[in-house]
Amino acid sequence: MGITVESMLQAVISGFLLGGLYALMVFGLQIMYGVMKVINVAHTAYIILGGYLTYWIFELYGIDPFVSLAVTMPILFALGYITQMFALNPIVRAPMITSLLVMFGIGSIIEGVSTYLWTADYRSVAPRYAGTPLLTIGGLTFPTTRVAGFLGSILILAALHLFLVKTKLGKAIRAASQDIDAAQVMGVNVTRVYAFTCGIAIATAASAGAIVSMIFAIYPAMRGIFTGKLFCICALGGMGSIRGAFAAAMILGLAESLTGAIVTLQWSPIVAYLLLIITLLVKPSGLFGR
Amino acid sequence: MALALLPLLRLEAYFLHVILIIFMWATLASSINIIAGFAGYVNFGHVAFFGIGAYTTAILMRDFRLSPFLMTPVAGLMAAVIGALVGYPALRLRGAYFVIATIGLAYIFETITFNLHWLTGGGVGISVPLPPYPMLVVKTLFYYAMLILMLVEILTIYWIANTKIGLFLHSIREDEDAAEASGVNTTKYKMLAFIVSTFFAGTAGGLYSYYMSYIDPPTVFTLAMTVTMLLMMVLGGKGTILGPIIGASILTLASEAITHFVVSELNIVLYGALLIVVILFLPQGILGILRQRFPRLRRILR
Repeated sequence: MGITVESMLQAVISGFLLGGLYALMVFGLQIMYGVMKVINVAHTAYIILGGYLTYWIFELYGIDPFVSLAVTMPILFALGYITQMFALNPIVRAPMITSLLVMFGIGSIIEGVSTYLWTADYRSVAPRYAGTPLLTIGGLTFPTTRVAGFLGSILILAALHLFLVKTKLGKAIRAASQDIDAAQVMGVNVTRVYAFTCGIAIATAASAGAIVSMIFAIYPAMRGIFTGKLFCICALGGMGSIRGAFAAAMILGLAESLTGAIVTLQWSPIVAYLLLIITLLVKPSGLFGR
Repeated sequence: MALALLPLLRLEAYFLHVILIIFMWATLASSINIIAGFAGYVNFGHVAFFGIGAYTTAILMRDFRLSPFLMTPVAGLMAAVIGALVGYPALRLRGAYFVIATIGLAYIFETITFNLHWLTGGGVGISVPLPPYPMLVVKTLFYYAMLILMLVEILTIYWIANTKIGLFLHSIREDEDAAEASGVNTTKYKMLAFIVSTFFAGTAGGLYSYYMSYIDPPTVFTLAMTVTMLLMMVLGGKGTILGPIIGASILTLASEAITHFVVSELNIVLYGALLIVVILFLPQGILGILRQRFPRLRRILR
């Protein structure tokens, strides 16, 4: 594909749509760090698990991935809640390396269980509307699944934003992320807030996984690729800043897509890391970093 | 002493293999201990330097027929140079940010290695022919090579721990700002620790590629290796001299046992479970526990 205006515009569209998905994926990471100061290296494992659950429900009952979110999200919310209660709350005061290793361990367990249950074969969810573009303007295609994924991501993120700003629990979570001691003094139940935050984070991972299963083909070891990209987004946007993460996610989506169109697809994974390196050299705390 | 004489007993090659692998992991775990245990900077991309060293000897052997045994220090130097280049911007970050920045390291190098296939053979990898001697002789050669490497490293760490370098690194770990305010040149010592740690990781990698006689990007750049090194370090006791060695021994033996008796998918699950158990219940490491229970032995159990 040569460098034509058309191919560039298509790349921009694809990048934009992809960026929305990345933003959803990285949201869970960000709130977990913002509130609990935990770097959840297993986040991508949960995402892929969400994808597999969606796949399972789709294959067994034929339920559309967006509809099955009503089931997958609560399941993974519960999983996140349990993870926080039993694996992370006990080590709240421990140095960072502790939670890193624990979450890596959990990630490995999830990957192992996923391989056992669904094998390492590529799986993907293909509802009837997959493969057909939603609309085609000129020579530009808007693939249905990607647009649906993008809209889904935006909706969920918007809902979460409202939750964090308008509801009592949401405000408690935000308070906890700003200053946990002050929040406790004001009556916030830290244990519950932590568990809820983790639950929400993992639930969003489920939704991201559902979308991923439609757009990409998933396999258990896939989490490695996404882990790298998500952390680059976090570094670029600033750890703990949701706005920054959103901006960085869009930037990465666009950068990857454009690189894929201009150079070749093989080099696009490295775009994330190039951005990371540039961030480190120019402004280490990220775009909106604290 | 006993270790040096071990190969003279007519043991099976497999036995030598396991012990030499223990030496290698001890080297790796100790190397990450320098930057993560002593200085408190958890380099989640440490395996990248192992891979760099591995590829260095492999390429030198393939293109110039230079003996990897001789080139191992070169591999280490290569890793150290890249370590310096990476460390300089990365070490400016603290805590979580440093971890995030380094998490990508291994993957970056894997992708670079994969794409520069004119140099590295890309996904096909590089085959490094073994020396043309009988199996037992070859294993013995590598046994001694790994043993020497490990001993050199232990001596280096012993030296670091007992001079002001170790003191400064500990102070950086405990409270970097206070250290800086007390006049410690934190940048210099962090860089020193980082470079030394990457040197040894690279050297181990250099030997490894020769021993395995084949490498490709996924094998030498896996995040799981870094985690294993960290786990060994924590299990044995981070920030100690003997800790990583103890951790490496136990985990390598456990891993060999598991792979022999358990089906492959359960493998990774057990590994993850082990990780969690060790971290939750043994954060101070075996050495930490021993030091608590036998205070009088503290001078030996360093």
